[in-house]
Amino acid sequence: MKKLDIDQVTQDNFARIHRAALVLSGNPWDADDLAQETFLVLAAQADRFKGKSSIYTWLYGILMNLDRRERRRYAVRRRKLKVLWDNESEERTCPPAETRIEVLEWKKSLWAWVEKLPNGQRHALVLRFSEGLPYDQIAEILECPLGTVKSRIFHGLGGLRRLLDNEDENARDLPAFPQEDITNVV
Amino acid sequence: MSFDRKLVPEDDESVANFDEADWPDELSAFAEQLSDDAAHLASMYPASSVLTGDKERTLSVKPNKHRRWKQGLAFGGTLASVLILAFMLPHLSDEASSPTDGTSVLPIHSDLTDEASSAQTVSVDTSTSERNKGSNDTTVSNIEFTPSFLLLDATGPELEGLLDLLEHEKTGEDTLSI
Repeated sequence: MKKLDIDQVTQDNFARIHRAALVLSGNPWDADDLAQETFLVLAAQADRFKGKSSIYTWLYGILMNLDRRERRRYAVRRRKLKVLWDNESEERTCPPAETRIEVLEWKKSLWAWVEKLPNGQRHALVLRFSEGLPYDQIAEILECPLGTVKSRIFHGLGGLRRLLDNEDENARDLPAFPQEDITNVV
Repeated sequence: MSFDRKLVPEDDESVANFDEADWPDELSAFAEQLSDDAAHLASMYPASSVLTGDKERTLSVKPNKHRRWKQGLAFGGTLASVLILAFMLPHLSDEASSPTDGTSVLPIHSDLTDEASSAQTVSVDTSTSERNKGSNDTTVSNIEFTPSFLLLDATGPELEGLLDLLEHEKTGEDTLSI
């Protein structure tokens, strides 16, 4: 099998991996980290690529695994930070320590709602509507049957509709931060 | 409790045979909106040019001239420190073995003039000297040290800094007070 030219693969695919990472993470800094880590994994495990699929489907697979891992870590970190923050006796008017960093453009987009969906549906929607991949390639990346991909995409969009229908309720349930100081808001 | 493998719902067969053309209009609108939003985000925050085809700025690890120059400087500095220490150690051992009275002044370099060497001394009122006198009845109230003793504990960069200052001292322009 021909040896992978890591530099060439990186140059050819970094933009698309970064785009998917941006939609998944919600900010360009985490997207940079995710995308770069994807290519670090590629460089470290290039010999595992058997050439049975396209290199970019393999890269998307790495990215999705890294994203799942990051979300797990973030959830743990957030719980710890929340405990620390809640134990502070001092009244604060800034966002809590566990607040996620998101750029405004992402926050205003539909992808901020997709973020609330389960990982399977979220990944399927990103690969289909951000990356424009056909169903069979998505099935290959997510390592599941074609029917499952179709089901996840359909139910993902359905879940999105329900979330938006209940947008007002969600907004009431999830205030930006309860101790926000709005006395100076014009 | 036995593991219930049906906790994860199975595929919805009715949906699995759907094509996107069969979707309700609302879901198609969502799909289109997601594509547009993704394109907008990608245009707002493009990937860094370092990794996207700029041949001259790829992730190569070739040492550049600047880095080589820095490495050379660091190596030279270390070498100079080692040489200086090697030069001074015999002097220090000689000084340690030679008898000293209360008014003796230890020179830093033998080639220094008396004037310069006296300018580079530091007066230290040592109570330790009294502690160490033991059976010796001679009271040493004021022993003068040269910075050369202090150099034993100095790190490489500190040593270089001191030497630079001492170079200035030689010209008689500046003085060093410790």
